[in-house]
Amino acid sequence: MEASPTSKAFATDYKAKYGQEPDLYAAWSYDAVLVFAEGMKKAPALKPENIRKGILSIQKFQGAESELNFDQKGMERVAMSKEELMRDLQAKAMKLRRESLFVMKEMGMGWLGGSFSSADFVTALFFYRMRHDPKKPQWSERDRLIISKGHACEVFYAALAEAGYIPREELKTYSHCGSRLQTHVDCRTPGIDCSGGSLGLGLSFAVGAAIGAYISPDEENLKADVRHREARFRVYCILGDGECNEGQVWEAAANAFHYRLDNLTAIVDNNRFQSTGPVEKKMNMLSLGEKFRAFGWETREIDGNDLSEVIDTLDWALTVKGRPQAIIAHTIKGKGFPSLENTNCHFIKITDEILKTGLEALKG
Amino acid sequence: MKSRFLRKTRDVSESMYAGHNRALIDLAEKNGKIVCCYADFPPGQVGEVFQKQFPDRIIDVGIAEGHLISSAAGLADAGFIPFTHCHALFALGRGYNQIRHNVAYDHRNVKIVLCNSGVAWGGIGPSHLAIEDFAALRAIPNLVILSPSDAVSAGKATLAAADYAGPVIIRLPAVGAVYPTLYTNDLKFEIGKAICVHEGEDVAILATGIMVNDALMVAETLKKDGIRARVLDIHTIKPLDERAVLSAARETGAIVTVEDANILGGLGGAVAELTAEKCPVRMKRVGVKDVFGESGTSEEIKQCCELTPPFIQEAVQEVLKAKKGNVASKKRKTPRR
Repeated sequence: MEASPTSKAFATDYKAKYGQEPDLYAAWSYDAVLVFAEGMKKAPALKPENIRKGILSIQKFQGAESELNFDQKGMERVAMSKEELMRDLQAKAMKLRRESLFVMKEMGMGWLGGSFSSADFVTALFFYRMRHDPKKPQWSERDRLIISKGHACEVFYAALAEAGYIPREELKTYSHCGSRLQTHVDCRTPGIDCSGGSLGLGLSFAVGAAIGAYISPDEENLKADVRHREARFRVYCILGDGECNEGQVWEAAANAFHYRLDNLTAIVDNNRFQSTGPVEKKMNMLSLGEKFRAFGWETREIDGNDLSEVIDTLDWALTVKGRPQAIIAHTIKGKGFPSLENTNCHFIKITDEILKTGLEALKG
Repeated sequence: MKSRFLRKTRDVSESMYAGHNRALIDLAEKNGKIVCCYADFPPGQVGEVFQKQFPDRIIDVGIAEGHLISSAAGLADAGFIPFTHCHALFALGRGYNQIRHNVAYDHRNVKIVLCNSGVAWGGIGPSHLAIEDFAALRAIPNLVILSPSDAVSAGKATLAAADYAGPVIIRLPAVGAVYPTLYTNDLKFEIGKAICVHEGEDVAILATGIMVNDALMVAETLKKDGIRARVLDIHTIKPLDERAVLSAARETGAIVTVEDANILGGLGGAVAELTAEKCPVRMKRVGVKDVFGESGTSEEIKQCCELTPPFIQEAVQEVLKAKKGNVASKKRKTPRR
């Protein structure tokens, strides 16, 4: 058994009561009761389904045997070490960039800059943070991911294929007539929660969904004031920095604070370029971090291409109570493609040369 | 055939909004999915009842109509049936892309209530008087557009909208204005099925919203002159009841459309599009003649925008004359000697 303080305390108490060292079965039974009690604490009402949901949401619970993590399937995930996790996610982020290049090649042009700048936090969301099930894309309690900057869709399609929402072969259909993979994210694709393309709308959608997470449409007692319960799911919304020119982003920001939506995390892909040039020159919005802060959001500014920082910040977001969280991810446009990094590669032709150079840079 | 749900007299008047609100409260008491959303717009009775009984199901987003529509789409994704409320012109103007993209394109179960629509409600001025809503919204695929004519049908339209799986627009006139109640409380309201409120074979008056009552008054006046006018309450602008419109065209040969909206692209436009292709008839569109509204009393504005019964009657006389002219010219097959 791991010698955590909890295990040591358990071993001491057990020996004092029963006169012998506890074995694994004793520790498991003890943890099972603790887990059940924790599920009861999390449940808004002491009904079987509520307790079950409470148990499934348990993360980083220190048991006598080990740290316990549950996922929506009820399986205990064995906690990876941070190093193993980083290696795994970094490999995935590279893979998403490579795959997204192939996706872009189908159309012969693509939003390379934004797909590459966001690949790291997209990886962290899909493969570390979000509660979701690729086999049940319509699962009502899934975490929502609103891709408000709906144009850099290539990296998302790569993520959907990697996660198992769509078969990898389907990536070849991108941008072709009749495809489920449209040139901006679209609800017809399993795994996409809100169609994109019209900038500035996604954060509002995310606010509506986040409010909805705090009420249950199946509430038996229709007359109850049910706001003070745990959110059924979290909502993540990815915005572009140029997108924050749109006024509606700020309508949504005001509402998110007003309604205390602590289950809402916005991630701004702050890669400093918008469609026709650098953000600062086109429409200088000064500090987006300060703006979100001024709207009452708990805000962090991070290196959005440092997976370790991304993971830590997504973990931090879970701990915030009573306010929405804004993560200003300072990223490099085209990150991972050295000759294009920090240039306005917002939407470029994908020639055979670009494909070759990109794949070279993203090897292993 | 004339509807059996018509009241015998039109001696009671009520705000359509009151009918809508009663239906919302009735729905919310049985269905936890109903959520009412407002953009700093007075919720009326819904506010009092919901704040006491369902405080989580009434949301005010502030003066942010674009956000109102998009966030309602998010609520729909979370499993709810949101009804949004704000000035018609601002839902349309500031929320058009959102209606099209978040609601219609993704086929979300959102019901958008356009409040204070049309010119005939006075006071507030042209910045708030929506004449463009029918025309602009008809061109968006996947939308159902309802335009009830009294408090009872407004309530029934609300219930029908909640039942319908998809985006619905409900167009209501001035919140405070009262209009004669036309129907009994057991009215059978079916989306897409026009209601015949007056029988006749000489001319058909296809009216919607507050103008149905005016059309009825005109039909009753014409009866005294021996003209039998069929009046249809077109409470669903989209999908249009093509069967009822084409029957009216075939059986009367003369159509007048009446709406408190621009004559370009609204009910008149929809009827003209259909009949021009399938059954060309003499037609006259009564409505706002492509001008902006004005501040004033309801009576003043209806007069200056030519929306009163005398103008409807004039339109009827015009199409009847043209119809007669048609018939006469058809008879003259051989040249005069």
